[in-house]
Amino acid sequence: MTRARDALDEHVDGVRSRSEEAFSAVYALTANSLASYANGMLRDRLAAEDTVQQAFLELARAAPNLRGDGRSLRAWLYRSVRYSCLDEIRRRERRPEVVTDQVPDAGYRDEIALPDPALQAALLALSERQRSLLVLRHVVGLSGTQVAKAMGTNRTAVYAATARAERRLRQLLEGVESEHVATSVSVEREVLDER
Amino acid sequence: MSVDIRDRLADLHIEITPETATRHRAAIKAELKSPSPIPVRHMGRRRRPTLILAIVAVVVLTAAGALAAETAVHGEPLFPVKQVTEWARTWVDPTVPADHRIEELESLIDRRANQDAITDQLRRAEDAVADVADNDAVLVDRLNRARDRIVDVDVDVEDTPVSDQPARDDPPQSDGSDRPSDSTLPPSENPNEGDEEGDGDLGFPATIPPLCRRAVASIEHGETIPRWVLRECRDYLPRPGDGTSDSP
Repeated sequence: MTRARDALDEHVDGVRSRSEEAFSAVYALTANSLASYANGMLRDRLAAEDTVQQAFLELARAAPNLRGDGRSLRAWLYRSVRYSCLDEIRRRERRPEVVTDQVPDAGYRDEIALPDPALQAALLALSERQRSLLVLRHVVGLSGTQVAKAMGTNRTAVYAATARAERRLRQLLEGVESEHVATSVSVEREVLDER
Repeated sequence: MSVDIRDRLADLHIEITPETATRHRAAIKAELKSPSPIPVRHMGRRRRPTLILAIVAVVVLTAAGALAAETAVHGEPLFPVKQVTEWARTWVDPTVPADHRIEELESLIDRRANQDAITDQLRRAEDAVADVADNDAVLVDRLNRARDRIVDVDVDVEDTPVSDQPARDDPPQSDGSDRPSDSTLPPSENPNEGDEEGDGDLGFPATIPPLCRRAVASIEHGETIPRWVLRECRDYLPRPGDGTSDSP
């Protein structure tokens, strides 16, 4: 049985020889998915885009020693983004965000506006591994095998862990949404009382 | 619910804006123009000779060990190695174990090993030959020849009449250190018992070593005696067909 060819297969040799065309093609094929993954991990679009650029710069340096086929290259990129995200998460934990009165301009706010804040909050409450699994599977849309390769595990473990992560996310979402409803009700009551 | 979560997760997908993409491509291009800081590893420049040497060393040592173990017999340190190679070779030739057991038996006979070891080895050889399908005629023949070499002395002795008089006045002295004592024999069979002059029931002179007296007595009673005893006492025992000889 032969496995399906990966779209990156034909660019692997070019990447190894540090060909600009090959890098451009690989970027076009993977950048959005990598950015979505990083965004799901960091809940920060700009930081996500930076991790994508960082991954490609690292690839440019390490390209001559790259081994394997297109799937290996794809897994390498996801691992690179994942490690960058972990670094960023640790950095944020050491240096929490500073609350400021300064408000970014409207255009910038539109660009970084995050959809579904409840979901994003619930995602952040998951462990890094569970978040990675869910984002890679359902945001990026990788197959179980691709996720396994990117995470350095096997496909069976990916399916089992993803199912557990989904259950956990559902519980968290129910909690976040009920809290959100309770908050909304109390605000409405306060408004009515004021009237 | 699960589908709902997946749909909501799918909505988190983002796309890099063209401006950002252009900026990224420019950065990558600049990086590609600079030489790669990571040296290219060439498997073989440094590692290949070591790897080849290691493989050759393993092969040579294994072969030497297997070769040295070829002549090992049961109980020797290399015998387990021989068993391993034998197990592997059995897949190709099922007569190998039997062949080896007979070789070991012949080796023990040539070395004049002790009787117990030879007897045990004979049993192993017989078992191994019996395990070979259709009882390979060559192996059976070799086993029989080896068996004959073990028992031929006994047969000679059993067929030999014992003379009353020894032939030698100056027999070899037996050290007797690891030999059975005459006191283990019943008085009626012990030539030395109650016979200070050495001419007891069988009429042996006192100059014959006790061991040989006992050997002659055993033969007289139709018993077989160990080969080493025969060797030790050959000067006092008559040869086959020499019933009345008075010389060794």
